[in-house]
Amino acid sequence: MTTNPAAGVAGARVLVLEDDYYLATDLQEALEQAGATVLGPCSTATDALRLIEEKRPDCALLDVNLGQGPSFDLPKELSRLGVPFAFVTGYEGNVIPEAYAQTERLEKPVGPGQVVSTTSRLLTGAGA
Amino acid sequence: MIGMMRESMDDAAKADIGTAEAGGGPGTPAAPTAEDRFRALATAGALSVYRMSPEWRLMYQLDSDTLAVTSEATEDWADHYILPEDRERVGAAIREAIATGTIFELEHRVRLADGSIGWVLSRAVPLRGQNGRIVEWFGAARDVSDRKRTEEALRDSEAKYRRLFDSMDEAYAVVEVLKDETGRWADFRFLEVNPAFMEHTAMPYPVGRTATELLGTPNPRWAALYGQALDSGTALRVEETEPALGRVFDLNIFALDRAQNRVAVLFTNVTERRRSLNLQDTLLAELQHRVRNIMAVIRSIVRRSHDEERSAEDYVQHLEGRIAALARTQALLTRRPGVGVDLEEIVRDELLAQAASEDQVSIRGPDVALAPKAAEVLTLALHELATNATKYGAFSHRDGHVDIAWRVEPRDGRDWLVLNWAENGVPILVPGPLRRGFGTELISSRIPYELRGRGSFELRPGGLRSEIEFPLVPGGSILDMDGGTI
Repeated sequence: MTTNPAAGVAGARVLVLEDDYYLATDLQEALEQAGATVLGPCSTATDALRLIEEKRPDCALLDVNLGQGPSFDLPKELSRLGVPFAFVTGYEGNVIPEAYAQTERLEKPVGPGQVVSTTSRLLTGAGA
Repeated sequence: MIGMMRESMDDAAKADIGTAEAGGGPGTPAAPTAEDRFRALATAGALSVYRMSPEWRLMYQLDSDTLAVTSEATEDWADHYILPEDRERVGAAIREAIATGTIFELEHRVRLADGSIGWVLSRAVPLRGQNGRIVEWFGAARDVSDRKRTEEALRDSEAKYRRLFDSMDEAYAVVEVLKDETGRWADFRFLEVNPAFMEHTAMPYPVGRTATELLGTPNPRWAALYGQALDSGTALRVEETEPALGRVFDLNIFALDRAQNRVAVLFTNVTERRRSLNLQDTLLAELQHRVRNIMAVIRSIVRRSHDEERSAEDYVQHLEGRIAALARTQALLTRRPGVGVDLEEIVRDELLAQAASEDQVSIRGPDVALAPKAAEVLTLALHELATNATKYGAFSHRDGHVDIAWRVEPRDGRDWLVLNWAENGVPILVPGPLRRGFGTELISSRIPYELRGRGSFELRPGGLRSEIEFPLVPGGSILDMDGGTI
């Protein structure tokens, strides 16, 4: 935890995956107010994968959605690229695969302060 | 025991022959008579001893502790000792012994002196005269009632278990576990199964065949489990999926005969139970997800409704309307799996919620079934349009009219829904809140984001026009789930 969480976030490129428009734009607003640049927000993992081909994010916030068909391609790709990420989820931990047991989770509903402090932790490597 | 019996019989035979040869001549007074010896033999050996005529027509004598004693030659001996239903069998054995001149031996039931029925193992040897002809038969019958009762009880018990295995709902099988040439448990052969086995597995009658023969592939997992039960000698309780059969089984596996590598397995097909438990877990997770998501959405709507309204009263009214529309969409999401949401129903519901009168509205369009997500977004969009019409547009004027029409058209290989909202008869156009803020954002930004379509507005003479279009995607309720994603 840094004393000024927003400090590390300014100027960072944060990928946001969230299929709900309101939640996505809330995340975007919180991050932009802290000085970050949002990649996306993307409503599908496919869009996000296409986006990171062009621009490499510094970190990512990913919504966990079980309703769209089975794919963990995006977290896999981010891990491969060494991009830290956190899950934003309404699910309990047991639906997250074992491989991501250590990945930080933000439980919905998420306030802007939490978004910024989590992003800051991801960027400084203080997150798991 | 048998040796002893033979010995005893030999003695008795000698005694009997002595009697026959002596012909009742003078014996030593102190010496026991053959008669005495005969009786002594009966009581000492717990045997019934008997003498029969060469053709077994007459019973000369029978001495016993348990059977009625015959002391004079009698013809109807069979009536006394042999049960009617056994006479045929006993008769056949006697005829056989006479024909071959060898030992008679048979286990059969007898009527005891007290009227009850017992079992004897009866053996008789032919005694021959000097000319070699059979003079008589000398026999001894040992009471084997206790052993027979035990055997019968065992048979009864076996029959009872057999009935149990045959009638129970659980599948039961005995298998012989087989090793491969390297000594690893590799396969197994079915030795016994009950009728439920075929029901639970949908396999043909498997007895005599190996699992590999039956399923067409080796089954190392099963062989290993059965082998484990043999190796450890302890019972295993496991739930296993059998891919070849596409079924999940709940099994109790236990070693039946470790020397012969035999394992018994008691199991049930729990495929359905497992599926419904999994579905329940998924639904619970999904419910949690949705509740949290909806709370987050409400929080966002509360915040977003705030800056567009002038008064607190207005704010509350709008907020209530939006939350009510959101609530209506929730009911649509949990309908039966595979059933889309009827577009016309959504349109009518949203107009009804605004208390729009029938003659101010016309609705036209083909039957369209919407996926839940599309239904949710469209409901909220129509809510915004209808609310705006009530406050500022067509529904706020006597002559106002709203024409809602939609069509489905193919674009890029997909069906798109194109819906037009056209207000008429609005004399003074007021740029209501729909021009900015929540409703605008919903239609012009949320529709592209979530439905990959477009939404637009236009204020034209006569009233507001809006066009909403998006590709139709298949998908029923949130109950249609078969996996997860991020």
